[in-house]
Amino acid sequence: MKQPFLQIQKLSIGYRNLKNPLILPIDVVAEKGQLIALIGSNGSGKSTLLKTLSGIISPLAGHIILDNQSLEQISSYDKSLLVSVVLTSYPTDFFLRVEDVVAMGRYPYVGFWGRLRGNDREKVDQCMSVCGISHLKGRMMVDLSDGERQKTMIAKALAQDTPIMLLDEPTAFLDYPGKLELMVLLKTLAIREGKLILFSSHDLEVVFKKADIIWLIAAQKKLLSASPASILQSNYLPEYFNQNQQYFDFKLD
Amino acid sequence: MKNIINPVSIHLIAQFLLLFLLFTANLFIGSVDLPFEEVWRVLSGRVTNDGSPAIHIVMQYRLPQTITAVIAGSSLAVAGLLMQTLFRNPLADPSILGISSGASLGVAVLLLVSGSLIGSNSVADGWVSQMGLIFAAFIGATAVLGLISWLGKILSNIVSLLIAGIMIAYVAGALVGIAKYFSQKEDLQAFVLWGLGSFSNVGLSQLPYFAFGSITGILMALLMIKPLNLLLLGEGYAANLGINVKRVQMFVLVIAGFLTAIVTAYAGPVAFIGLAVPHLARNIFRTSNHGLLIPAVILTGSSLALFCNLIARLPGFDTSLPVNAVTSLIGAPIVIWVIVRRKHLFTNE
Repeated sequence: MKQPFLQIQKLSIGYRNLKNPLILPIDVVAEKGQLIALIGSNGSGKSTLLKTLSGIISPLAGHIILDNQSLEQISSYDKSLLVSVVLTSYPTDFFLRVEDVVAMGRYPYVGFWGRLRGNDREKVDQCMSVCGISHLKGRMMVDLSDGERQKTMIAKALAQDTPIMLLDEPTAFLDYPGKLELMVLLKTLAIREGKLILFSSHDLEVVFKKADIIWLIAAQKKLLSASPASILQSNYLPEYFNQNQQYFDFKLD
Repeated sequence: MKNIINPVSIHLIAQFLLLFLLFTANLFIGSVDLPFEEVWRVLSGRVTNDGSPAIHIVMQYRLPQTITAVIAGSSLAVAGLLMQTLFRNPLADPSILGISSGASLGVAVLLLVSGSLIGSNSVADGWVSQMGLIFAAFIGATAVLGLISWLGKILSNIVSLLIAGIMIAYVAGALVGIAKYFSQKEDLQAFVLWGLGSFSNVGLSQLPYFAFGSITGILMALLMIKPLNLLLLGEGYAANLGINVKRVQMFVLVIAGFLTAIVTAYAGPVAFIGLAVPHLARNIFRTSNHGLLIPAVILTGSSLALFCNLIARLPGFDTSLPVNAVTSLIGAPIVIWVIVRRKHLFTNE
């Protein structure tokens, strides 16, 4: 029987110096080609879950199984070929160009001195073009708008050429058209490149419009996985946010 | 590679020429006015009799001083670049972790404390040699480096380590202050002189050791080009791209610390070269890629140190100026210039 691409089994996450895990044991699976939105209130553990899945921090208990291998047993080099990340921080060094940042996505594939070969260069150009930032390639990171910077970091993750891409609040700081444009980009990447894309967000409206699956974490520290439609039809949303007085009145297309 | 006449190679060639020019100028120009032909005859090996003042001045003073300036300048520039990348902070410099304060403390213990303890003037009574000073400074600096590396294992992030380093510098400074307070006048004077920095402490016989240590450190830095570039993205991204961030940070720290320790041991504290040169090189080459920046700071650092050394002993002065003062006088305006230029070029607000 074929195993799901990503399996999370009895996973509990958090920081060791805090007493309680942020989320109660999680059991969930995901497949390639899915665009999954991770939503939940501030401090609910979205970033912690993303960091745990990318191997930046280790789980308190439980297992993450990626492509039939346990994440803890994958070397950090092999992990760099499986999972790419877009974090909330971004590089600020003064003379760092868009092209340089995207090129670093190819570092796991290039030799000791970090020199890109012809096919790496092509991949970098192609990723910048997919993200619509080819015209920015020579610009410095510090000169970019938030949206342009976000797309650069996505192009970097794309250049890494991994089956899984994790993004921490990629729609934050973008205007509404920017948010929608970014969601369309992620959706296209999931479908066309067959990637499993998991991103956290507070922008419920665009999230519910574009994501295939919603992972919801909230007040009771549980993670629920369901389609946007079934979450909207049920009373999950207000219940999970612990706000029975709030109502959500948007419709799906 | 197809086009040799690109801005990067032009800048590199220009930097090489500048370095060559300054190197030559340092040999030919100095406080003592020697005729051009005389210096040339010494350098080309045509004067061999030891009685000539020219051969003494050129071979015993100018040549070792010039080579020392090149080694010190390039080492400090590389150390400064590594520190700025490590802490992702443009104000980081080789002395930021208290390593040069450690060297000061080592020298203070030798010159001031031991002198007071045995009731003899360390310098006047002649029991402290140049070699002793180098040794004391190196031990002090590596002791601090060891302490910092140990703290690096305990502390969870690099910013805490930076704060710890700055605190260590304060403690070392305070201990030096106490030692100064209780020391004898002649010893104190020797200590102050050491603190002014000098490229003339290293004789020809010591030069190979200094060069070997420094070249080793610079070669180690060159092996770190790829992880150094990844550190620019931030720790999370760097880890995700397959490097062990903590281990890389410790390597970078030890390399930069070692370079700082060895330069401070041989030349005393030399300020601002490590801070100013990386900024200068980034502005000239308009890059943050360490594959280009490390060679660039080696060239720029050597040139700046040679330039400062030239200024410090211009003809017409009876004596040479302290190197540490000259590097500060020249380095500080460079940093300000870089910041002003940056604002002019990039802020649209």
